[in-house]
Amino acid sequence: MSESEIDPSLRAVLREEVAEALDRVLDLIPTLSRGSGDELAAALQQCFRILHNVKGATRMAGLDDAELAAHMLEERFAHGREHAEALEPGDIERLRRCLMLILRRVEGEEVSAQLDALVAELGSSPGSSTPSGPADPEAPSSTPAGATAPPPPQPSATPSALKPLVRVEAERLDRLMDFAGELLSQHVRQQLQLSELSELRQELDAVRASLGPEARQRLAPIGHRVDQLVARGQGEVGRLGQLSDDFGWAIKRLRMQPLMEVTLSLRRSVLEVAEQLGKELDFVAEVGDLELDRQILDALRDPLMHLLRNAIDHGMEAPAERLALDKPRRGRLQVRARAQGAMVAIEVADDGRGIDLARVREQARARRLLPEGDRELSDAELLEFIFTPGFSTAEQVSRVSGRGVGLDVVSSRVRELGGSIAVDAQPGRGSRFELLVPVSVVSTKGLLVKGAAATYALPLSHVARTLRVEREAVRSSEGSAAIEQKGQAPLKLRWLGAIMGEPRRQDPAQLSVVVLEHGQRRLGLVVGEVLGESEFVSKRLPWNLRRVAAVAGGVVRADGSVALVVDIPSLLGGDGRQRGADDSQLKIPEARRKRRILVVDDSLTSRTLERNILEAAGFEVVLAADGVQGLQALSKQDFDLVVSDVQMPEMDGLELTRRIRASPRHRELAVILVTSLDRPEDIREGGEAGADEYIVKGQFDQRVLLEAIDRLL
Amino acid sequence: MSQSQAQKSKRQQLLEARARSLAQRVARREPRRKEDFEVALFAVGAERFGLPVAALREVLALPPITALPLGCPWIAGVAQLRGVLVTVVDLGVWFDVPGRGRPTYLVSLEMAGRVLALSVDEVLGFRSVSNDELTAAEAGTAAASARPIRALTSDLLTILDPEALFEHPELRFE
Repeated sequence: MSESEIDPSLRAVLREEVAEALDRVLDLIPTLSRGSGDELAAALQQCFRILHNVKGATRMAGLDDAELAAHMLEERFAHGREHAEALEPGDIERLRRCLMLILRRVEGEEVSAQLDALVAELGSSPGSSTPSGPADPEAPSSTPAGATAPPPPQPSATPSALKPLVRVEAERLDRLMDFAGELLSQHVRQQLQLSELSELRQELDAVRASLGPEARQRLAPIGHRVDQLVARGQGEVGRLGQLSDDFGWAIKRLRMQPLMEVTLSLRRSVLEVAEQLGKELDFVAEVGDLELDRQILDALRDPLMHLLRNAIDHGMEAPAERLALDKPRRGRLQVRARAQGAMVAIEVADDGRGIDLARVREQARARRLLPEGDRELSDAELLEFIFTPGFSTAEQVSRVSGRGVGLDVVSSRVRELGGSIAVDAQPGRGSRFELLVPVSVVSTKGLLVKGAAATYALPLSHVARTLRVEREAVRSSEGSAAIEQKGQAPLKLRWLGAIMGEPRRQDPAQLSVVVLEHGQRRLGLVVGEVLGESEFVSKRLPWNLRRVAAVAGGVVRADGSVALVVDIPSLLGGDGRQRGADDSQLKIPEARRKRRILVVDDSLTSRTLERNILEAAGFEVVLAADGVQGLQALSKQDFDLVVSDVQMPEMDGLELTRRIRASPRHRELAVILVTSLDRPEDIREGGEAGADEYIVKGQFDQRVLLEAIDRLL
Repeated sequence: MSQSQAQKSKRQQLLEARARSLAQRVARREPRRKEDFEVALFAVGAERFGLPVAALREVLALPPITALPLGCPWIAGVAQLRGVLVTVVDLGVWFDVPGRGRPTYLVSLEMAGRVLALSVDEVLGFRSVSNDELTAAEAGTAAASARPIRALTSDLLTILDPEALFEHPELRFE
């Protein structure tokens, strides 16, 4: 298979996975070659699993030669694992060489000859296992395992990975997006015209009824023709709607790029910065296969690098200091991401010194940011101050000189994207920033509300709930209107109409309040009326109006008018005195949701593939990397089905299934196990654990999976 | 012919008739010369404005306009043109034109890929303007120097300066 045949997005994912595997194996090598007892057994087990994943991943990508090499190596380990024997130097060298070659192969280098030689070497050297029969679940179906000859070319397992690619100027994609939005509103306009035509038809009937027989007769063919027009119009408007949906969806996909592309490029910079500053650290990026709109991805690069640089420069202690503090010599810097509905949460965490709250308090006092009176701010509230423009942040707080670009810049960038940022820090233990950004700029779910007279859109990502409140219940708290809430700090209120400069209106006896939430801050927004939820295409404000207070953009409504999108983070974040800490559990109103599937698999490539298949089939997909993460995901939201791998670290798929069956809440949840283990006893074990379906990866194709899902849902 | 085309051509005819009657005198008196330039003519209240056609993108019936919390009355708000949000400037308010009515048309301008729109009361058509009938803008109304005006013609047509318009600080909130 030639280099050009791998889908670049898949390649990036695969490369990361293989690179990580290589890193981990290199870490294991001392134990593998010199260890003994349980330690050696654990290392062998871990190494076996890593190789197993690499094999699975390369198979998914259709890299047959790499897959065969991984397979041969795995065979080799199976032997060592069974006998708990340390590896010979020769095997260690082969292990290293093999993974390097696979990595180069994944990167598109032509290394077939070397791989073939290695396969031959592995097949012939002592310790190599005998070819596996049907009992070996791992043998590629058409390749005799352990064979010394390279395998015959096989058709790719993933035809989608073979499509050619073109480069497109980003601006053209933006234009396409504008068209998609216009097509959508055009469709709605046509619908309106059509219903007007239908109304006319009814009026015609009414007029006809009042006329004499002769006139009625003459009008009959006209009525008939109008009927035909209506019927034809309905068909066409329906088709246009379908088209505009498809078009919008296709563009959304077109604009998506893997988040990993950013973290891969950040990795290099992080290591450089660490070296410059004499810090020792491990950079771990666990962003899975999440994809974001290109525009958002581009805009995230700088804020992320800024946070990472801050963490290295100000957060991370020097090695000697860490040792003195009884911390591991090497620091740990993590970027993790997870999907959260239409948003992606990206976490940047370090295990450095954290943020000195006393210094933050001092700064806040000096800048008169603290609230009047003697109310003590919580730590979380204090930490919010580091995003205040001009606030001297980490560099002074942590007493390390540095580049010192304010975190307010990071925060405002993220806000411009319609996202938010929150921080959490433990003195001496590290700090953690969480960025919440929308996955797509193409369409957003929002709540349409009226202010005084005009209509506005509130992105659902920041809407906690809506309530109705008696006008009499509004009190004054710390100088602003608020309502009491049981067991919680008072909820401050602001009037949307007033924020938007609309003429003031008399409040009705009952107020409609939309509770907005951003991190730990909450605000009650008084609106004239809640009109309902809708999906909309948010447009940027014109070039000359980039900074309009409280406005993030506009959405085009059916009649061609524009509803302003309210910039919720700015409403909540503008003034330190307006913050009210509150971490009560609030439910985000559920949109009419798609069926949601939890995919649990420790292989990045498998996860990516399964997610692509399921999303293409119209499901909402949430990913987890092992059973433990899977259970966490299950506890957070409701799912319609679980697709899980069997062999995974932490908690395997069988255990996950058992736990699901044992839980009163999830007992009825459909579970599909997808695995490379196909021995009858494996299948039986899966069934006993409570799985509804058992799909063997060897036969894995999307039809099998989708059919199984179809049966269960 | 579709409905919109029919409307358009009807409007077009009307505009052309107006343009002819307005432009007649000038056209007869001075044949077109090289340094003449074409302007689109429109009326706001009692004043007439000319916009060099090089900057003209399109003229259309006033679409719905959404106001913004800017505290600046001459920016009427934003409107959606071909899927993109465009700032609408209320020329009557900005230039404090006496006797201004309700804007009914939108004139959109384009320069270096950026678009702006002006709301106007009436669209009158086109005419060509020669340089020798221009008088310096400073000589005009008191506010003219602060406004993006290139010149006045002898018959008191205010010629807008598109470049100054796009760069005008009163229209920028960045």
